[in-house]
This record gives sequence, structure tokens and C-alpha cells, in this order.
Amino acid sequence: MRKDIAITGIGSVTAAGIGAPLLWQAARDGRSGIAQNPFDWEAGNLIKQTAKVPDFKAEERFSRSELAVYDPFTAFAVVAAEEAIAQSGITAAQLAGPRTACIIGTGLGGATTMDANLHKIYALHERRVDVFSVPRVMPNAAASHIGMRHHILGPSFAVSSACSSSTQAIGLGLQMLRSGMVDRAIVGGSEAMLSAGVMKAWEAMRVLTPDFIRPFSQGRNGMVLGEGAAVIVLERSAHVTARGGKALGYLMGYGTSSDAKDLLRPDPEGAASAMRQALADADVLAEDIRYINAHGTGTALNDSNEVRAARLVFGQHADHLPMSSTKPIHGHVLGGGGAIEAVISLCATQNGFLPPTINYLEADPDCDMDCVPNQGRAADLPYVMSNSLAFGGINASLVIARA
Amino acid sequence: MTSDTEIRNRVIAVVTKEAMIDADKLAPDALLADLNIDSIDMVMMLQGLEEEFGIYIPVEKSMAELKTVGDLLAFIENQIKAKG
Repeated sequence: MRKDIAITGIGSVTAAGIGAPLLWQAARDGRSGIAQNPFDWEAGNLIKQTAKVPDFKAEERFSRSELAVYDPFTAFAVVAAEEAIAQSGITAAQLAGPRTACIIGTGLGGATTMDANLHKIYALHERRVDVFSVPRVMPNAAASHIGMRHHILGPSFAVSSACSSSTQAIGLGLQMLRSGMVDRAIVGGSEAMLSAGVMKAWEAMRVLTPDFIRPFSQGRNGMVLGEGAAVIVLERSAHVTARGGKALGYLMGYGTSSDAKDLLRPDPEGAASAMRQALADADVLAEDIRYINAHGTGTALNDSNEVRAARLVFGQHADHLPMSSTKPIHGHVLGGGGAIEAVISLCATQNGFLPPTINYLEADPDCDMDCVPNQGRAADLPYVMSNSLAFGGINASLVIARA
Repeated sequence: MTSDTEIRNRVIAVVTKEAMIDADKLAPDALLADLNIDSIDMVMMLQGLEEEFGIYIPVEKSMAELKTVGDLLAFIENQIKAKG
């Protein structure tokens, strides 16, 4: 069992509000942040329900010069990082320098800025686009801005692998720490894509539900997209002890795999491979895992695929292994989703409580695992897993232990 | 009131266009697999149906169980009646 890498800070900005405690409370209580939200302009959108961050008020948080270069995906990540770093108790002097990494995943980067530009150019025929479009749109903008605010001089980049982006970002941080490349890592992910044109593109994929997101349930017919960010501070456990810090939990293992079969249709062998690698990396047995925070998108294909994959890995233990999806709470946040769900997974271990899968109607024989339907419950959770299964066939899993 | 025949003709027009299948191959008992109608064709059809009928049909589990052209047309027509 590997407890060499500690989690010392968490932060999130989600539809549940600003701050990881609000995210955990919403997940625990099964309170959804999904609502019908209007777009800034008309693009013929049929689906308008999203999981939007409420009351973010970027103009009150950032200076004029920061606002000029912060796409919302950067702003969300910066706020989540401030919370996580503050909680870790790492001093500014400890954080600064070349021994800290900053890796922030995102699927689409500055999609809001890009969509607004296209609207201005092609629909409104305006001559002026957003002057700082290029640095706002680049997917590494969030990592760079967090780095600049905290003088982080080590490795800094974005991971972009659709829905697996931030799970891979967290996993890379773990590997960099273990390799000795850095002493601490600010890792996570962010996404802000709830603008009319981006949503229209998702609509065309037919994976958005027009009614309710019901992971693992009979009658499920799609996901709801969300926005937000989550950031985690990773440190070598020995360092945490030496500086008198406190571990919230441990990041024990990471596994990732590629289906290399179909761009959109998931494959249970690929997902199973990522889960097995994460267990091996953590040096735990399948039976040690007491909860899985599923990718659980609520689409017809994902959920049955994920259950089949979990059954391949966990065998008979899957009969007693709860696997819930919290996406009906915070929406599918794409490149931010894995980090948001890792935060929830950690909170589940700390609180000894299984967050429910809400909106559940009745059992689907193709999803025959306990998805903690509708009502959360207390449980002893020493070790848990969090999965991300992305378009492109990219799978990633984390194993997290309580402190 | 739109007649069932008219709806069927419009649905067939969408299916033939989006899945690039000749209308004369759309016999009710023809197998979708034999016509090489795959998941990409289905998504294209759903887009065409949105434009023709103004309804949004998400990919749902029952679509994976459609085997024949007759199953497909019945599924689409039920959706149109429910949402149209």
C-alpha cells in the first residue's frame, strides 16, 4: 500500500457553489445544480439545461488587467487553486520556485472566448474581436496563470484528453512526485463551455438529455453539461510531516489506457485496464476498494460499459461495491470533471459517506451494481476509486485513501 | 392533422438522405446491419429528423436494440408522435 503522496488541499468551483465544502454537501445530500439557463445569444438551442456556476462575479474577484486575459475556464481554475493552496498551509515561499509543478487539464480551453469571437465576426459583423483572444483560448492558460500568481517555476502545462483531462493531470502530478522531479504539484482541471455555439455542437452528438440525467437507471437518455474547476495540492508525505502540515488523504494510484477502437463507443476492456493499473500502482487489492465514483454520464452507452468494466476488474466483489455517479449534482464538466469527482471521492473517505446517484427510476439489468440510488448512506471508506472515461477511448482511474 | 403516411414518407426521406440508403432497400424486415447503418448514420439521422420535424431525439438505450428497418421507422414515428 502506497501512502507516499499526500493530498493536502482541495478547492472547487462548481454548480454547487464556490468552495469544496459546498460541493461535498451537495453531493452528499443529492442536491442538483442543474437548471434551465439562458444563453447570451440565440443559436437555435433546443437544450438549455446546464449546471452553471452560480454567482461567480469574476469582476469582483479579479483586476481589470486579469479579467482582460482570463477566459472563464482560467478564472474558475485560479479560484479553485487559491482555495486548495490556502487549505494546504504551504507558504508562498515554499510554493514558489522550480520544485513545484502546475498541471491543469481542460477539454476545450477557452471555448467561451472562441465562441463569442465567432459570434462577433460572423453574426454581428463586428470589426473588433477580443483583443487577447489567443492567450485566453490557449488550453495551458489556466496552468500559466496559476503559476504566475504563485511564482511556480517547475513543469507547467495542460493535459487535454476530453473527459479524462483532469484525471490524467492528477495522475501525472503523482508520477512527477514519485520520480523526484518535483516536491509538490498543483493539479486539477477546468472547463467553461456553456455558450450557445458549443452547446449546439454537443446537441448534435445527441448525448444530451432533454429531461433528466439518470446514471445507471432504466430510461436514461443522456448527460447534462456543467462548468467549473477543481484543484488538488499533492505533496510527498515526508515533506508534509516535516513542515508540520496535515494530509487530508493520500493519492495512492493512477492508471490510464486507450481503447484504440472507436472514437465514441466505449470499450469495457479499455476501462478495465485503467482500473487494474490504478489498483496495481496503489498496491491494493480489488477487494480493498469500497466505493467507486463512476464516470457515470447517464448516456445509454457509458453506464452499461462502465459496469461491465468494473465487473471484469472486481469480479464477485462488484456485488458488494457501491459505484455512484455525482454528475446529476455538478453536471458533466468534461476536462474539469475528473478533478471535481476526485475531490468528492476524497470527501467521501473523510466523511465515511457514499454520495447517491439521484434521479434514479428503476434498475437496468445492464447496470447491475449498487449505484447508491437516490439516497446516500454512511459507509467505512478506507480506499476508493474515481474513473474518467473519455471520447477518444481514453480511460483514467485514481485510487484515493483516507488519511 | 398530418397523416401517418405523410409522416412515414418524410421519415423515409430523412433516412435515405442521412444514411445514404436507396429508398427501395428500406423493406420493413431488412436488417439495419445488412444495410450497414451504424452509430454514425443514426446520429446523422437524428440531426436530419430535428431539422425536418423540429424534435430533439437523444441516443437512448432502446436504439441499440433496433434490428430492422421496421423497428427503426416505428421508433422514430413514436418519438415524433410523443414530441411533435
